[in-house]
Order: sequence, then structure tokens, then C-alpha cells
Amino acid sequence: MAGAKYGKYVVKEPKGQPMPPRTTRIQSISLTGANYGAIAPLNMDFNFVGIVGTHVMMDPSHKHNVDELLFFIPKEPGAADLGGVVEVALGEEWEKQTISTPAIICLPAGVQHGPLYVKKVTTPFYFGHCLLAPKYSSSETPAV
Amino acid sequence: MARYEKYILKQTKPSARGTAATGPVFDKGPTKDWGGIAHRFVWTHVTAPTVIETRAHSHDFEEYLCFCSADPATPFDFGAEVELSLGTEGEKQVITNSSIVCVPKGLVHGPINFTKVTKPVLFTDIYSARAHPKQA
Repeated sequence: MAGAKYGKYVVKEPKGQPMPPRTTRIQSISLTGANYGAIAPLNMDFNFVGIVGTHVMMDPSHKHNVDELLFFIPKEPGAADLGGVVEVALGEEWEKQTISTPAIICLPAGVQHGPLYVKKVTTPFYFGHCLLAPKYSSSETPAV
Repeated sequence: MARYEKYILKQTKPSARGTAATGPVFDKGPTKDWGGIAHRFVWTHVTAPTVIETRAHSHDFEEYLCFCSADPATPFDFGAEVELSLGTEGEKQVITNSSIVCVPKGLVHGPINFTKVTKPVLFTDIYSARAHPKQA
């Protein structure tokens, strides 16, 4: 049977933690402690979200004790324009950064981030986080 | 405004690493010591059949190969067939759904062959290292 020995490493349609349906964002692929299944533990937690409307996320602001990446991916290959405008607050002082191109934000452990305001959406784009930990937790959602 | 700007990598022009099938790849640029963080994230859009990785190889860090629809409004509407070989025996996995392939340290993986593409796919490579050997 094809795929018998290593099939456990392929997580199909990984939808992550169930979330209430929203009109502004759509759950995409997600790797969390919940869907590692037989291959746990892995030291990574990430989540892709389709952004289709304006809204505020990551409110209140928070930080982690591990490194994180936030990513912004356009729908179209090679687009220089993200398809929207996002404002995100970084640091304790809420320094405002504006994202309107494809981008990655690296957040070393301890760097506060949020809120994140999806200010404009002209074409749906992907946003997500990638946390170097086996399970998502933050100063606002501590691990239990 | 300058204190945290160094943590943001923006794509302002197409990368030279793309092919006709994949389109421009988001290129990380000089990020080896980027904020001191130790994982990386690269994406590409695949719009036509292509072999995106030709080698069977392994490394001493975890890697995650992510496949989903390129359309953020329909992330699980996957329109492609991807063949991926795993293990020293080259066991073939066929991906026809939005999926994540978890590659533990030391597991041989590749080639990765997009044999059929009817709808653009977002392919993302996430790895727990500052540089991938093929990019070092």
C-alpha cells in the first residue's frame, strides 16, 4: 500500500482548533498540538488564515517566551501589493508599522505585538503566525 | 519609527529564484542573524506542473511542507496533485488535499513533484534553522 510507513507525517486538511465562522477571516491550514497525532511532539505551532474583510486581531497585545514569525502572503504570485493594508503595533510603546506588501515580521521572544488592524482588503490575502513551540501560548493565553 | 522596523522583511520586488511554474518566490534576503530567531519561512505560488525539489535529502532540523489553495477565500479548495517521496526507500506520498507534511530531523524527503495543477497552489516551507542547506 502506497504511503503506509510514512503516511503519518502527512496531515491532510489540517484545520486546527475549531473556530466560529467569521465574515472577515477564514481558517486555513493549521498545525497545532491538536493535530500532530501520531508524530507528536514537534516544536512548531502555526496557523494560516484567509483575510477577506477588515477587522481587528491580536487585541489585547501580548508576547511569547519563544520566537515567532507573522506572515502576510498575497493571493497573486509575485504581487508587489499585498491586497490590503494592515497596521500592527510593536513593542511596549505600540510603535505602529504599516504592511501593504508581502512581508514577514520576526518577533524575538519577549517582543510585545498587537493589536493588529486589518484596515483595508482589496484582494483576499493570507496572514498567520509561526511560533517555535509545540503549543500556542502567550502572556494573554498562558499554557496550562 | 525605526526601533522595530528591522524586524520586518518586505518584498518590494520579485525574487530571482522563481521559475515560470512557481512565479517569483518570496526571498528572505540576508536574514541569517535576523533578530536572533532560529526558524524561517519561505513561500511560492505554483501555477503549473513542476518539480520543486529534485533531491532526496535530510537535515538535522524539523521542516514543514505546507500545501494549500493559493486563494485565501477558499483555502481547502485544492486543485493539484503532488508526489512526494519519503524515507530512504523513497516511499511515494500523493497529496491531493490541502496538507502539511511534517519532516522530523533526519527523515529523508524529496523529490517533490507537482504532477498536476488545475488551480494555483500556495507552497510554504517552514524550517527550524537559520538557513536551509540548499540555501546556505
